[in-house]
Amino acid sequence: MGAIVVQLLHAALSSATPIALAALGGMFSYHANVFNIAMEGMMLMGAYYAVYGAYRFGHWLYGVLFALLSGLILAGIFSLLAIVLKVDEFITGIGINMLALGWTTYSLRATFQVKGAFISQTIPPIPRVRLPVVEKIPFLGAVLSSHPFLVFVAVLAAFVCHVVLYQTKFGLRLRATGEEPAAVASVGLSIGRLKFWSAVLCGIFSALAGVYLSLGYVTLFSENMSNGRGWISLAIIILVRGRPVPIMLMSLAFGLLENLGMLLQRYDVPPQFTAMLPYVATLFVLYSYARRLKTS
Amino acid sequence: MLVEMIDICKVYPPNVVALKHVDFSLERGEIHALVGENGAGKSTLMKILSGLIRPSFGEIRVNGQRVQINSPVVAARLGIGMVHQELALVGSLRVYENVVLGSEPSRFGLLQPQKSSQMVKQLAERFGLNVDVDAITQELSVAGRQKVEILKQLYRNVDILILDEPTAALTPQESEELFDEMFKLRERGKTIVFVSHKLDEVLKISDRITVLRKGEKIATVKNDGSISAAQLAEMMVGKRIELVSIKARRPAGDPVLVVKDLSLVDRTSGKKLLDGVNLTVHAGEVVGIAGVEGNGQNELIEVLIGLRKPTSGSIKIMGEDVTNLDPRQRRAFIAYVPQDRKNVGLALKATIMENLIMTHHMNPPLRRKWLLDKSVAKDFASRLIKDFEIVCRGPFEKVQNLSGGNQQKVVVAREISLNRQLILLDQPTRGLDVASTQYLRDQVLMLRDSSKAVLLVSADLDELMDLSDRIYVMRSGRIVAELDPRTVDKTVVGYHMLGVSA
Repeated sequence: MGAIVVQLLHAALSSATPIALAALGGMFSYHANVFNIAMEGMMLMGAYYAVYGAYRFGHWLYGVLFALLSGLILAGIFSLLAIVLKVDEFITGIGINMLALGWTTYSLRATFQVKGAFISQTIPPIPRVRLPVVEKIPFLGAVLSSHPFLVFVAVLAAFVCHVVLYQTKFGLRLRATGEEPAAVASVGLSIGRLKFWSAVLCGIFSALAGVYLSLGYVTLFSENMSNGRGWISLAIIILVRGRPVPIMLMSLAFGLLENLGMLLQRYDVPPQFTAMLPYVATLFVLYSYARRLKTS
Repeated sequence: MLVEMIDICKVYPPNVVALKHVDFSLERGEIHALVGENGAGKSTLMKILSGLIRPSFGEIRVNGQRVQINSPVVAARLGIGMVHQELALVGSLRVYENVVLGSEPSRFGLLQPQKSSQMVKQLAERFGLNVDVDAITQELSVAGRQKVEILKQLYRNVDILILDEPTAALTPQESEELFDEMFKLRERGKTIVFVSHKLDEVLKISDRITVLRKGEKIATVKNDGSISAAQLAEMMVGKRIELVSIKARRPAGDPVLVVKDLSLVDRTSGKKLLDGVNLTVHAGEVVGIAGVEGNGQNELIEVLIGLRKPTSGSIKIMGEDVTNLDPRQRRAFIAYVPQDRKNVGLALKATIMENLIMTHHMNPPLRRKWLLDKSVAKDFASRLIKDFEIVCRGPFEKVQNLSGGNQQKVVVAREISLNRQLILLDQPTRGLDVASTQYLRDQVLMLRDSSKAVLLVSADLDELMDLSDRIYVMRSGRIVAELDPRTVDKTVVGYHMLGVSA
């Protein structure tokens, strides 16, 4: 039993990482009052270019580099359309998500001559870290150790984002932009520039989420491998009203539910039902959250 | 001279002239009032000085130097800052955060909350502004938030502070406090422009007064006791305005509105919002409803227009029982000028034409089967614009661009042109300037003289006394008195409103 729990928690932490990273990125847009739904596409693009870079140049660092570039380019496109040209943010996001899906599917076939997924022994994954002291702690050690390093980056990022958002000039101005743009404009700051930086951060974090998917979680790229994680991250952002640490906790809850579902499959629960678990849970959380708001 | 604005013109294409050759100057350490009616150009002139809009013509000098003020940031650099009527503050931030926003004390990008708070606190103390700098901004009153805006300007070392109608949303006590603070600011060498149309306040606090009318400067006078409110009003308006309306009392005609035993009970609290209201309005009379706000006047109007169902009682209009009719059916009898013109009376983002044809559009000639006849609509709107003297660029201008008085004229034009027998007026002159108010009052009397029945709800007791043939006083959802304004004094009405015996 203990082993199962350890396994479950270990897997939960792993599943939570891409969701948390994307949500932390989207959080910046949320606070700038930009309705950015492009995390899904940015993540998928990041996942593809991580595999591309790592495979082509033989080192995972190239994967990260390419993924970040792809994230920045999508952030640039988003900014140009939604912030400079003031196209509807939602439509822009949908466009980016569809572009990412089409582009990666096409590139997969054109570059690697495969359909569905590209798997190769020569794709270098991102390194896993072993925690020297923690490893020895009986229960915790097994849960925390030998994860790809991005898992720890995500956990740390939650706290760093908290500081950035609430204790830096940038964070203060960003929150002010989202709430009362007139106040920010009246002191001579550029609202567009702040929104642009929020999009860039979203691109960086979502691309890292993609790197984790294709070089950490597994070592391959498959079509549409982001598989709705960007949307879950959006739901989490809205649910916790963009607070970084709760974003991390909610992502963990999702990771847990996802793996709980897989665990239940062992006990003859049909997979169709177990796969629903995270989403049913989302609806339930939304319901109780809305009820609480209504009664208070 | 600290500031000189010379020969300033502002033209909005194609042909709206907002300012015509206006000269304006400021001396160091004065409180300079800028007065004029709505639409006289006060805000435009000050927006030019604070860099929000650019003049079409003219020059500005600060300390004798000719300057171009292209943005509020440039204005701030020159020491000029404006506090607008709409306060631009971030509600969830603390007061000091709002003040330092944009030039925050920081080390390596990290904010220094203690230092910021301390600096802002010292600033507030130095200028005698009584505000808790650590409070969450949205928890402050309007007066408090206004002080935050003033602090924002002071933090940026502004020498010239423009306050745009700062007392508009303040209680009398809060206004007094603001005046004291303005005096303290003046003592410490700041120059203040006080934009207002409240003449008593202007005379009380300013050193000099500049009067604008229809985009032109009428005069700049020293406030040394030589000028009276009446003289200022005359300069503002241009013609002598007699606010007392001449009433020609005519015998009232048949009853148009008959309300019997009308009650409304709030479902959740069980409170009686209306309690056995009986009233009658005859053709050719104006009936006023007086009362301290919140004593059932709003509910009465809502029930009459059909937005709420009464718990008991009946409403008859011209002999027909309308108690169970929906609002649209009732509108066949009622013209209605609501209290909240921006949200209820108008669709601000729609054009003047669209606003004018609403309700009219249900019937021919505006309606042709399922379509609107656009050319008839345009002619109809143009005619009303002309008849009701709505100042605008044309029927296709958006209503939100109009001044408050002209917006109200749009509502009134639409409703009066419905030609209904009963007219409900809910606070029709609230927030309007002197001329628009007078215009509205004339309209009311004209309606009465054309044998309409008018029910007027107003918080302005003078207005009720001037216009009404009879006054009902409401208190706690009941009609507590029916008075004749020709035989009773205003104070008697006041006693009934408050429930103290005369």
